[in-house]
Amino acid sequence: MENILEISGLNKSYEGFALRDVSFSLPKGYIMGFVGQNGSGKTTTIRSILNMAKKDSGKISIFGLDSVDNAVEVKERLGVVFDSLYLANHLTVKHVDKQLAPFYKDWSSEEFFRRIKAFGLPDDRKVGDFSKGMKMKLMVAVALSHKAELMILDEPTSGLDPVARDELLDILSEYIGDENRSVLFSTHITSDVERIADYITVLHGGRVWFTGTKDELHEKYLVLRGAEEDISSSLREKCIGFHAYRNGFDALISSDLLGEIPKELETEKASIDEILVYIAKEDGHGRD
Amino acid sequence: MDEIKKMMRFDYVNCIGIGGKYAYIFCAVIFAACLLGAYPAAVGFMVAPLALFSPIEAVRKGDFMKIYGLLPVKRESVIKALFAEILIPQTIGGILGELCLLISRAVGESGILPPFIQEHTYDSVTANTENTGLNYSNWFVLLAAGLAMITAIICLFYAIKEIKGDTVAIIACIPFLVIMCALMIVYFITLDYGILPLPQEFLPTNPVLVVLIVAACFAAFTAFGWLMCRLTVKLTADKEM
Amino acid sequence: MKIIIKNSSELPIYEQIEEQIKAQILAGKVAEDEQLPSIRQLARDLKISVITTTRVYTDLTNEGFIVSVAGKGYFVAPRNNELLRERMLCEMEEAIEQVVTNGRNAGLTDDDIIAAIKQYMEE
Repeated sequence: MENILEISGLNKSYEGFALRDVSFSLPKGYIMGFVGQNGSGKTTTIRSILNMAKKDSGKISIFGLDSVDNAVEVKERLGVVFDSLYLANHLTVKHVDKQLAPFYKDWSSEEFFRRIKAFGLPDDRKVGDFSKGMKMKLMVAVALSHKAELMILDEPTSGLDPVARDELLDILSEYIGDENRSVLFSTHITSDVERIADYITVLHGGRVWFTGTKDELHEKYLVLRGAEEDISSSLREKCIGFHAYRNGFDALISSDLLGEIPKELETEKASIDEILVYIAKEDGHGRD
Repeated sequence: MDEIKKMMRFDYVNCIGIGGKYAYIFCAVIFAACLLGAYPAAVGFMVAPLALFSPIEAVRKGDFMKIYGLLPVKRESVIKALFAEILIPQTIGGILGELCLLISRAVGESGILPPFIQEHTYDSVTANTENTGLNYSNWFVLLAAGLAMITAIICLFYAIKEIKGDTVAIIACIPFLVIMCALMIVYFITLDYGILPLPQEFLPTNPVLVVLIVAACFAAFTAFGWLMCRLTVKLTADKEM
Repeated sequence: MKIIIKNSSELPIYEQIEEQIKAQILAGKVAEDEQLPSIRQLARDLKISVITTTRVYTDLTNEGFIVSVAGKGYFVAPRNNELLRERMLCEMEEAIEQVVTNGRNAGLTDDDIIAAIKQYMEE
């Protein structure tokens, strides 16, 4: 399967924060959910892909092109949606069309205005006065109008109402429909990617904690519950984010250990949200 | 080159949307004043290009800056476009200013203006020469010199801003502005008391010399701007967006 | 074809879909040779991952419920299909086992059970 995005051994350090050896790849035609707590390094990774942050080491290739050496060509074929609008607030969509058209050889004004209409965006109001959901849709419209082959979304749904979030998911499923385009969707609202994402990359503390298909993630980890006296100390050691309370405990556990689990304990499938919470607990963060 | 043009067009759409059109109105007013013989108004062209450029700056901040990292252009093209946006309007403004001086003089001397207007504009300005010590040919030189100084400070400001950020740039440019203002104030005060010689006594009036000095000023600020641009491109090559 | 996904279900989404498609094929609610939505269309309609729908179709093809026609898409397998027939027979055997067990548990004799089946068939 051809990869549209490949990151290998990405390192980048700032004061008090570092991305370490981040590697993952996204095949053509699929959606990858890029999840992790705030501050886990999602935005820095995305900024590195866009060559807005200068990586210390590692290689990023997009469409088989190097992210630094071929930055201009890469950006020509890339669509980006940020959590906030990157256009000047006082412009109308007509200005936006005029402004961006010269930069992209595949820009279609017709497609742009068709999208604007379909998304219900007013063409006479200043884009700065748009609601959060409208701004998000405007950025999506821009990406679609220059036929971007990879769409990168950085926390596009934070602060959006459920209806707008649902609309976005619709647009994204349609977008990858032709099998040649992919989506990298960074979010901490995991319910958005829980259903539509094909692949999941979990970032934690600047490292890749998991990367693979969503089914693999769900098969690999389970939530374990029961009474504290029923779990052996050796098994307890292997639990992730062990959390004891008055009447029992819960923890995340690798499904490889299924054979070692005594029958007094119960297991159930773990949602991405639960996985994130247990990883954070394991680190001593988010302890109650 | 193509990328620089695209970036300039991009910024231009921004500035026209936010009131850049007032720069044209301002220019038209200055031009009208000059046509009526009030030639000192031509110095307005020193700052008119700023009115065009400053709206671009007003939006170049916060989340909007991300677009410069997203557009498919090299980073140096963004910076080169920025300097071109300072230098090109300033040069055009300067040339228009010098032209206006010529036109207003010609209009004033031809006596085609209605007497009422002539009296209040051209005649009163010319008569004023005795007080300020500024004669007609002095204005050519002053306009060019002022333009060169202002442009140099703007270029310096943007070079520092791109390299070190807003705050450093403001702090670094304050001394230059203060020195420039102080010199002007001191000069005009001492002029009033007759301590310093009148400008016409040391500013050249020979037409050839005037043209040469004006050309030298234009060449100087263009060269300085170009130098600042190269320096900024070099020093921001590894800077993050 | 009707597919309902329950988020509250303990079954993974792909199993839920597989079960529902199978049930509808077995019940004859979907005609044989009927074309199914494409993998990506189904993913889009249900707002689920493409990998999930790919897995559904792969599993159903392997089990003989549907067939893949290169370049055209997926179709409900013909009824005379050996695999499907076997599958139906298997389902029938399971159901008979259930009938017999339930009948005996209720204290019926084997003749009573056979009579009940016959009666059902006559209705």
